[in-house]
Amino acid sequence: MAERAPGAGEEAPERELAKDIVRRGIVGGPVLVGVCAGVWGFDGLWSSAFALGLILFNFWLAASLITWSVRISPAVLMAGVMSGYLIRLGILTGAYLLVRDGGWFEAMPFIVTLIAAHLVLLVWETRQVSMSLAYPGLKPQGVRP
Amino acid sequence: MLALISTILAELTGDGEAGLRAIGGGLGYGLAAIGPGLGIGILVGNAITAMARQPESAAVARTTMFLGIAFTEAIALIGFVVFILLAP
Repeated sequence: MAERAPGAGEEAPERELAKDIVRRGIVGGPVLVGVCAGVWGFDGLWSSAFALGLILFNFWLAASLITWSVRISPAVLMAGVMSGYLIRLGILTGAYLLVRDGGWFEAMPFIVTLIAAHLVLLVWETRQVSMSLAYPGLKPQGVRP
Repeated sequence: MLALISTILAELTGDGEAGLRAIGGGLGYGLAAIGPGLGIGILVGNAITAMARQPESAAVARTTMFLGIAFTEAIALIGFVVFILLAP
């Protein structure tokens, strides 16, 4: 039951979701980074921006792995998702271990941004998906000529 | 057992509490990663079943699967936060 590759102009659904999440993260993320900068100063700003970057990269990588593996076979999809989960946790841990001794790194804004950005972006996207599934006519279509 | 580990770590690092915190952080992270791992396995298994039964709705199944994976992963992130907070 290998999935067919998306045709011309048709994008893999998870890739589309990840793009949407990254776009929302770039638009809404600076608010969170600004709050962290206000509370923890410049260290908070850098740490928060770093966490936001990690979260967006995490979503993009998850979507890319699924898009790649679903085209091959269901078994590869299972393996891809499982190893992707481990790889992404490893990347998060490695990134933290790399920067934790840096002079600019502050743990609290990093943690706050990591959890808040992940959950807020996900809930935001889920609302959008639920609405477009419930009312397909209301799904944003982009600018019409 | 913990006392023994603590003693060994105290000998190695010169700080027993830091050693225990490291063990706690590692254990917390590891335990918190087990649940999402199981959850993601069940989730993807069921999504594959759905795609096999109704190939025409595969896009919806994949969308829901991706969101489900991301939500499940939030639990692992909380374990990661515990690791950060406890790591010496």
